[in-house]
This record gives sequence, C-alpha cells and structure tokens, in this order.
Amino acid sequence: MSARLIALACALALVAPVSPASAAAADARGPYDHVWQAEGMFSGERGETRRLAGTDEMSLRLEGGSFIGHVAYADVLGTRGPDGAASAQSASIEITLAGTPADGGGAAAGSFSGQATLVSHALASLDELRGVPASPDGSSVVYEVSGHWGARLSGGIADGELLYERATPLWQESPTAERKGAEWFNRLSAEPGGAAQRFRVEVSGLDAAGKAQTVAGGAGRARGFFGYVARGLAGQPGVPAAPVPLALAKSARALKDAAPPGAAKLPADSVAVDVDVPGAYLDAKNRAAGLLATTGPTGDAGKRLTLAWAPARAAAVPLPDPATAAQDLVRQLRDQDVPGSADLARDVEAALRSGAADPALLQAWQAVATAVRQAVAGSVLGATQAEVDAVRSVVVPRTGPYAAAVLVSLGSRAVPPPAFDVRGMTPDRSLDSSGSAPTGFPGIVLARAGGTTSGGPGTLTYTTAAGRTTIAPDVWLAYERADGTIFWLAGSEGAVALQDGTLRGAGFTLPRAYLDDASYVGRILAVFDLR
Amino acid sequence: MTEQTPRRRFTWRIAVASALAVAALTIAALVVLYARGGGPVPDALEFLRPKAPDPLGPSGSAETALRTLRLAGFDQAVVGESGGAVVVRVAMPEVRAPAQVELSWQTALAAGALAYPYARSVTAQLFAPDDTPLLEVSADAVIVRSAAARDDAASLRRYARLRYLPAAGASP
Repeated sequence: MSARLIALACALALVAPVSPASAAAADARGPYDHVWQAEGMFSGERGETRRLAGTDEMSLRLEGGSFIGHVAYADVLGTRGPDGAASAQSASIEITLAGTPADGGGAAAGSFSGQATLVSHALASLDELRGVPASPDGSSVVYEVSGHWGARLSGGIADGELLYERATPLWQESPTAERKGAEWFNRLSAEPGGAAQRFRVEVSGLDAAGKAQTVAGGAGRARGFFGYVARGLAGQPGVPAAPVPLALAKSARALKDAAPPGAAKLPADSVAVDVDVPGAYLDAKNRAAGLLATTGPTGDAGKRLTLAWAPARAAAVPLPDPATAAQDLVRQLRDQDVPGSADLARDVEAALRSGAADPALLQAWQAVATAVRQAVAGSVLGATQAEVDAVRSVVVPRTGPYAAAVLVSLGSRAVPPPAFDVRGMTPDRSLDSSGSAPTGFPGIVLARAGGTTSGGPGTLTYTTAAGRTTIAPDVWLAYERADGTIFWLAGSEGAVALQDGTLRGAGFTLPRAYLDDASYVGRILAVFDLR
Repeated sequence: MTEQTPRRRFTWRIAVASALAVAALTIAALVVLYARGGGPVPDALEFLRPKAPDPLGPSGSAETALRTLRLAGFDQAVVGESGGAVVVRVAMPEVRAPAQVELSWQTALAAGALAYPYARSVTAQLFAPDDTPLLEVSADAVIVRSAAARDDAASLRRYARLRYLPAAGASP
C-alpha cells in the first residue's frame, strides 16, 4: 500500500469521530454501521425509508504486525419516494480487511475487498417490506467491491471509517438490472464518491496500552534479529496470495480462530486452508504434480498412504445409544490420568443428567478416549513421510492444462480462456443431464442438495455473500476442460456451473459439489456437502 | 623492540584482511538471512526481501504440510511455526472410530515435523467436523521424525503428551 493511501486512510480515521450523523446512527446499529445513500435521499418531505436489520458482524485483529478483519453485513431497505412509489433492496456485503499499524501504533489503515450483492424488489407499499427476505422475486447484481479503511485505536476499540472506491459488477440476473457505482455503497454526501461508512469494533492482539505494536518497534523486536535470521535460514512458510471463495472462508475461519483453553496457541503467521490459501489450489497443485487423481492419491507414496489408512476407513461404527455411551465414556475417563480427562468426565455427566447429550459428539469423545487409552491402529508415519517427500520433490510442470488449472484456482486470468470460461471448453454431450432426471452428477447434487418444482426441473438454491439464489435449468450441459475436469453449465445461457469438488483423500473422502461462476471457474460461489 | 620483517608484515596483513573479509561475509550473510526471514529493512535493502511464492514452484513448509494433509483427506487444516514449535490443527471429516483418531494425530504430527525440518517440537490438535476441539498431542519433532523413518507408531505413542480439549459449551 502506498504512503499516500495510508495517509488517506489515517485522515479518514481522524475525522471519523466528528461526524454527528454517523454517531447518531451508530447507537442503533451493530459494529459495522452501514447507512445507504437512499436513507439520506428519501427522508422527510422527500419520502420515507425503512430498514430490516440482518447480519451485522465485524472482527478485527492484529496478527504478526498486520491487521486482519472481516465484515459480514446484510439488510433490507425499503424506500418510498415523494411520488409514493415504493421499492426495496436486499443487500449482502462480505469483505475482508487487511492493514498495518499507523501513527505510532495509535491508528490502523489498510485496504479491503470482497463481494456485495444487491437485489431489487418491486413493492406496492412499505408495509410489504417484511415479506421481501422470503421472496424469490427480484433482480440481483453481484459486485466485487474494494476500497480503503482507517481507524483510531483507543482502549482496545477501533473507531474508524471505510470508503468504497470500486464496485465492479461480476454477474447480473437480468440484462436490464440496474448497475450501481461504488458511491452507492457509501453514505450520501456532496462530495463526489460519497462519504465513508463507519465502524466501531473491539480489536484483539493490541498491547496493554490498547495500541498496535508496529513492525519496527514491537512485533519486529518480538521475533528478534536472530529470530528473523533463523526464519530466513528455514525458508518462508508463505503460500501464494489468492482470493478464497467466501462460501468456504467463513467456516474455515472458525477452525483458525478457535482457542481451546489449555491448548497450544497457533503461531501468528499460521496458514489456514480456505482462509489464507484456497484448498482448491492445494488440490490442483497435487494433481499437477501427479500425486492426486479422481480416484484419490496416486503414485507409490499415495498408494502406501491409502493402504495404511484403509483399516481406519472401514472401522467406522454406527451412532451409540447416548446413555450407554456416556456411562462408558465417563468410566474410561475416570480411569485415565490425562490432562483434561476429569473436566471432560464432569461435562459428560452433566450433559447426561440434563438429557442434552449429543450422540454424534459422544461417539467422537468415545473414539478419542479409546484412542488415548490404548493403541488401536497401525502406523501411517512411514506412509506420511513418503507423501511429504513426494510433495516436496515432485516438480510441477510450468505449462499445460494442469499448470493452467493451478493458476485458475488462484484467480489468475493469465491462462487460456478455455481454462476458466466454461463456454470456452469442449462440449461433451454424452454427459449432458436433464434438469429433472436424477442422472449424472447434476442429478446427484439435485437429489442431495436441491429441491423440486411441481413437474418441472429440479431446483438448486445457494447462498453466497450476495444472498439467496435459486436456479432451475431444464438441462445441465457438460463441458470438459483440458485437464479433464468436467463442468455442468446450468442451461445454455447459465451463469453458473457445477463441478465435482469431492476431496478423495487417503483417509477420508468428502463428497461435495462446487458451484462455480461459469465465466470464471476459479471463483467458487457455493459448496454443497453431499454426505 | 624488534622490527617486523617484510615477510612477517605481509603475513599479518593477509591475516587481518582475511579476518575482515570473513567478518564482512558473515555480516552480509546474516543481513541477507535477516531480510529473507521477513525482518524490517530500509528501502535500499528491499531487494533482499523474499519474492511472493511462485504458485508453480516448489512448496514451502506450510504448503508442503497442507498439501500432505489434503492428500490424506483433511479438508480443513491450519499450520504454523514459531520459535521452532510447529502447531498443526486439523478438522477431522468424521470421528466414528478410535483408529481414525489415532491415525489423524500420527498424520498431523508427521506432516508438521517433516515439512518443517528445523522444528524442535510439534503439536497436533484434532477437532470434530463441527470445529469442536477434541484432543491435543505434542511430541519432540526429532522423535516424530525418527519414528516416521522407522514407521514406528508405538515409540511415538510412548513419548507423546496427550491432553483432552473440553471447551465450555462444546462437551456432550
């Protein structure tokens, strides 16, 4: 980020607290205080607005000298103009913030990017507003949004502003849908581009004074000169920077953010699948290296790993009776001298008494307790070592369809169009699937994750940062990419395509489907669990 | 005081020059490693900073560990290292048999210890599919690497430290 942009963001943070309009609005709203332009345009004699609050989540933390944040926001806004005409807009915004300490650690500044979806609805009157969230009607436009943010840090709280600078339409349901510019996402202002949105959120990772340690003065010293030297000797743990599909990032973030009491803390620069690096990239690189095929891991190392895991795959047992399982579990835990066993036994007994024991979790704890008590499996250590060696030593080809698939998974457009645009691929009519017949991969997805219409094609509903969308194509057209990946386009004019995203590992298989943007298949819009 | 002969003077000069050259090279190497390790450097030394990883190039430690875990079937995983201590966190896709638990910690420990060859300790944290924390297993990384070389899970179990991770509100 350039010094000019940091200065801009800092300036935003400094002027933020003196905006009376936003301060008033902040009382009634969540940490991310979004005020639409329409709320300023249609008020008093010029009309009326009503807002249905939806999601309003924001997090911001300092990690390894950098700020990382996330905003998930959704609402429905109804407007009535001076002529009495009413309409509504349901909005969904999901953005990721990145930044650095500024102003000696008393401020923070950086950029943000993400997706936003606006759905326009016709209304007879504002009284119909409550029905809008459940309504399937409406014309939606999905935007890629980005801009800059800045905040003052005080008492562990970041009080700041966020200015949308770009809003690029990625997809729209109807060619006639109205496209908005970046200013639509900002507040109404006489200034071109609008005024910044406000936020006020608790920040984790600050020092005792509620300030951010700068890299030069704080986090840098924490690692120390020889700490950096050692890291330089061991090599950077880094992974390529890449956009992670929002549909995946949210659940993956929960794993990274968990902090179980008594457990070792994750290092500051830890790398999480589908948060810091897309899982699809890791799989594409394994495929390009010849270590993974549609049937699972390949090569000598892969076969050895699969063989070593086979007994555990076959050993899964049905869910136990909760009462019997809980008593057995408590007995096991009481016999063990393992940190945490007494606490767990107490929790299990309490859950049993209250009748709130979850059979699946009980089964999991039973499996853990048994594995802690005694050896119950062979060894996968040697097979894992062989696989690590293969991952490290096998060279990935720099050209060809598999290399292109790796780049597409990172969002790169520096590849031939057939690698990322479904319509540019080779049609395979033998795999086409009717929208109603439960055959082929689309049929499996519709049967597990879809719905039906009366006598019509099966429907597929998915939720992204852009909101809920339902599609019901009469036909799913199959296209094959040069690396062998099959995509099923949702109708001849479809904007999305299905892909088999099943992760076939040596130990576990996760049957699932990816719903991709048909013109940019590195962008996964939704993931369907097909278990 | 005796005057040094020209030959002795020459030897001294060579010795001093050699010592200075070694010191300069050592300092330069330390500065390069410091910058490559991510240490803050002046703008003039920015060129020493590591470039963004090449997506088609060899994998670094974190990527090696995560690629290995994906090949084993772990969809969600987190890995990081600090001061020689590696932490590998995995969400198990299913927890329906004790063998799945034992092999999961073996895989996570081995992937962490082998992907970070300079690590001194490694910790595996197992989570349920819904991100409920279950178990932590820690071991000396040298022991893990040695057990992996001999494919000897029994010796790893002997030296591993286990801890249940009951979290408030997450227990059955």
